[in-house]
Amino acid sequence: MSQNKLSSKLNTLYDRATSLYDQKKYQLALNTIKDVLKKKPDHADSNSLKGILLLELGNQEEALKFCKKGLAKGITRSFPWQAFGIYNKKIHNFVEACKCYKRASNNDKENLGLFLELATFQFITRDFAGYLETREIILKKQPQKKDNWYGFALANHLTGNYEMAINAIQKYQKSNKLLSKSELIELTLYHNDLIEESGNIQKANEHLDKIFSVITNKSLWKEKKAKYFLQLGNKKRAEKMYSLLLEQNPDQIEYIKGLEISKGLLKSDEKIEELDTDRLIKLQNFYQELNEKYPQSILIKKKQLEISYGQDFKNKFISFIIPQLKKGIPSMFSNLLSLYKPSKIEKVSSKIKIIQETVLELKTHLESNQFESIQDEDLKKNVILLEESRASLLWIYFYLAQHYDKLENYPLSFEYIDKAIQHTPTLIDLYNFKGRLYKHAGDTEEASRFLEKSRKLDLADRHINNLSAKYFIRNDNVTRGSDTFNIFMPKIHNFPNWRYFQVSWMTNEVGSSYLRKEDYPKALKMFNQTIKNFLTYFDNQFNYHSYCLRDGHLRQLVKLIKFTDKVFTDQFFWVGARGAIEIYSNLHEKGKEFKQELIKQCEIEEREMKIKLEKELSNPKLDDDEKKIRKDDDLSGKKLIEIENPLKEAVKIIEILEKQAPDYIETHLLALKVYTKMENFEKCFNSINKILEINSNDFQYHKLLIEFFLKAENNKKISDKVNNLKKKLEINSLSEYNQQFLQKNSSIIEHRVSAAEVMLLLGEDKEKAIEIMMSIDGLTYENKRLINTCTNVFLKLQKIDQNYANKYREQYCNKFKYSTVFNPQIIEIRNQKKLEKERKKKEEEENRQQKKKEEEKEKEKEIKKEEK
Amino acid sequence: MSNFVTYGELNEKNIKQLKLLNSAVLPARYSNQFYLSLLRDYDYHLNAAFYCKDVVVGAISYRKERPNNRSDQGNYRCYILTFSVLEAYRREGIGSELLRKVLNFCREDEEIKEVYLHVQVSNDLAIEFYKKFGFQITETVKGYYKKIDVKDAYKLTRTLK
Repeated sequence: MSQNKLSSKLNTLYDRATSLYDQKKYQLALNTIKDVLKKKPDHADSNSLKGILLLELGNQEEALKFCKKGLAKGITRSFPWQAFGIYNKKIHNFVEACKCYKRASNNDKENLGLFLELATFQFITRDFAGYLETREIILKKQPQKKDNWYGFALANHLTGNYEMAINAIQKYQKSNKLLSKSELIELTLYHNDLIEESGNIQKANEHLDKIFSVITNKSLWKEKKAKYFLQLGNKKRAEKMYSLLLEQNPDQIEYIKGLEISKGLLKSDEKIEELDTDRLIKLQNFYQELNEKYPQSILIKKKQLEISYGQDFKNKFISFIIPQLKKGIPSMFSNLLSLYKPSKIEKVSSKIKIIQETVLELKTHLESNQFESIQDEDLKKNVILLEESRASLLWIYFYLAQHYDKLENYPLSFEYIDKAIQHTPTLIDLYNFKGRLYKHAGDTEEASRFLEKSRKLDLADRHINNLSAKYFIRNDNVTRGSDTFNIFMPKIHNFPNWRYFQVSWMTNEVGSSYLRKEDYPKALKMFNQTIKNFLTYFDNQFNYHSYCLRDGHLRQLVKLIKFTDKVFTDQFFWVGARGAIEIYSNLHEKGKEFKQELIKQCEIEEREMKIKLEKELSNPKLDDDEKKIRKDDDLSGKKLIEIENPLKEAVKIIEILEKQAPDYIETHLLALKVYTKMENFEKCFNSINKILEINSNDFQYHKLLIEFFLKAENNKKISDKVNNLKKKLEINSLSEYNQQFLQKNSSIIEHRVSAAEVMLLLGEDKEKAIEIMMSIDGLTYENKRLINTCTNVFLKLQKIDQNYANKYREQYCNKFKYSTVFNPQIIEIRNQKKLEKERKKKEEEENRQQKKKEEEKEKEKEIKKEEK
Repeated sequence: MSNFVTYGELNEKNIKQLKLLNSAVLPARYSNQFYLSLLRDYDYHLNAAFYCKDVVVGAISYRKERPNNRSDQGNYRCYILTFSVLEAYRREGIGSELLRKVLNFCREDEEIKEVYLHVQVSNDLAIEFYKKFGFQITETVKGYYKKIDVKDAYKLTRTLK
């Protein structure tokens, strides 16, 4: 096409622009390319180049326009496609980017670079078939390079062509005798992994024997060997191998499990509670032997506690805790936490009672100090053993405090932690725990005070420091929290410059605090940072992929795939995603005026922040890197809320979740919520189907489903589909369906509340609905702690009717007597006391000064007298 | 004595622990200023803490004092400022161990000729304890303590060389 030919003069200009782009001088490059476009406005490559330059300069909308124009003018060329690929990569649409590179490489088959980029995208989008195709082309073009052989092998591996993969690495290995030792080991192990994954364990086992001398990590070799023996049914030899491994490390759960299986004691999918007596005894004997052989292993002892019951459990429990109490091991309670799991089997759930009785018994005897009267000889021996260490009683108090906290008996927990503090006021863990206890009991202010106390006791402890920061923020004191957090941060990364540090827990905490205060711009800024952190983890694949191929870390690359496939299921990512989606939904609900108001506020704040930042940046001591870190073109978060359609932004996050965490019910709950708001019913049907596959009795889903029906019923276009869904769910009327749900789940608070909320949605009897919401007694709950559930109910009631909320509070203020939500007077009294204290201090100070003055006067008088 | 006990030095990061310990044990209150001064003059102030596992259960702070008069040159003294062991950990020899540590320090320092300290006149147990280590009452200071009930103190001294 003639329009795509440039005169030689323009061509040099174009070349200059591309080289400026390579040097990252984007503004200069843009000016140059504009000159070309003045003469040749339809030149495809120039338009595309302008597009990606605009993208680099942050103008995404214009960038898209020019990228598209470039494509329209030169759809058979390669560069416009490549540019559009770069655009898609920047907006994290890797599937599209992959397609673009495919077209680009089709249009320019000689360009190896394009194929390499394409392969990376195919790797990241997990298009393994395409990856193999591309890797084959690359290898043919450049067979002398090591990376290409590795890439080819990996592609074959990922598509299940193990034979070909093995051939590739062997071929390369043969032609290259100069491999470094570490690379040779990696490659050999990879070779073995490949045989194993192909399913031919016999062959893998034989290969493993051959490579024994190459592998330096003998434990790894033994682990593989044991696994192969097990898979091949050679249990005797597997047992031997696992025994050898256990000798090296008796605290490794895999070895113990391997031994369990190879001895035929427990199949890998069997539950201990389901074993018959005979087999249970065998298992218990097995662990008894192990315990005698490896008395130092905590893991074996823990396992013993899990598989013993009744009196036997009690004896084992005592022999477990006595040495720990004597030594004073702070992690003792968390070691035993697995015993506190709720269970419906009596012999399992009764363990908690046994623990309580046993520890209380020890406590009573130690307190009374009279051991001679103890009848039980064993008990006597144990108490005397404990008496040897003065700290035993302290650790018993501490254990009981943690025990009762776990059982949600806060008054007793407080009683014991106070006793512990009285016994040894210098043990920092106690203040830590007391803070946590206050948090559990619903008093974040006092919680934060105790964490600060323990921080001050050991200023060198980073963990406590950060905990204290977290508790400040939980109590909505972001300033003190971030100041505390900054103590252990390098100066230039101080708040709010955390972007380069990727501290997701902190951005989550700060974001949640702002969200509680309904400061949406600041909250969104924080949550966005969390999301960005995780996108960065995902993007690291680009570098890691080429690095691993270059250095032959193929096994690591396979691990990387597993890691990134799961990275978005991380709970820290979820806090950020959930928070951001909530803000976008609220922004949508509250409408344009509310948004304008927020923007106005942001503008006011931004002015001040800008002045402050400029002052900081003018500091001559800062170098360029530091300046770059401090620079922020959206200080107040204004740009984040200035968006046209907040729900569209929410969908962007939901799409990540749908792709990366499809097995999580919350993904589809969030999706259903947002899509219902958008009235995107097609997507709603999709989400509902996904939820039904996971858990059709979810309480959040119940309310969302009714909300969906209420909206969808108005839309005649989809009435067939709606009716079909109703038929599938056996819904005659929504009200009836709701009552059925309530009946089915009448013992769970969350479900009752959900049903009551639906009653209100359907305009049914308010009194009745509220009554259902307000009951607690004899009910179970889904939250970890009852108090959290009830606090949520209270907040919901507040939104419905303050009178009911007050009534609820009155009803349960004694049950949750430490909670500041249920007893707001706690804070009032505290504030009054604070004021009084300050007043007294002032008075004292004044008194003191007056006294001083009087004394001075008298002295003067005396001096004068003397002078006279 | 149990073998979990170790010595540690106090520093600006954990000085609050000493304050906490003393306020749990001693009747007299000391200000933050006092504790900071313990760290400041490093050459003359010394602290030893007694740990049971990682927990401070007893501590002693002492300082080497310049002689008052020029004529006394070379005759330094050691003054024990605070000395406390948690109630629950007494009668285990922790106190003796700490005091012995101070006395050993003084013996090794040629310049130090005596050790002294103040004790409430009513604290019979403590006086008894110090006497076991060769201390003797050398003075009664009226109104030594300002904010507690028994205000008078004995000065106890032990000569070394």
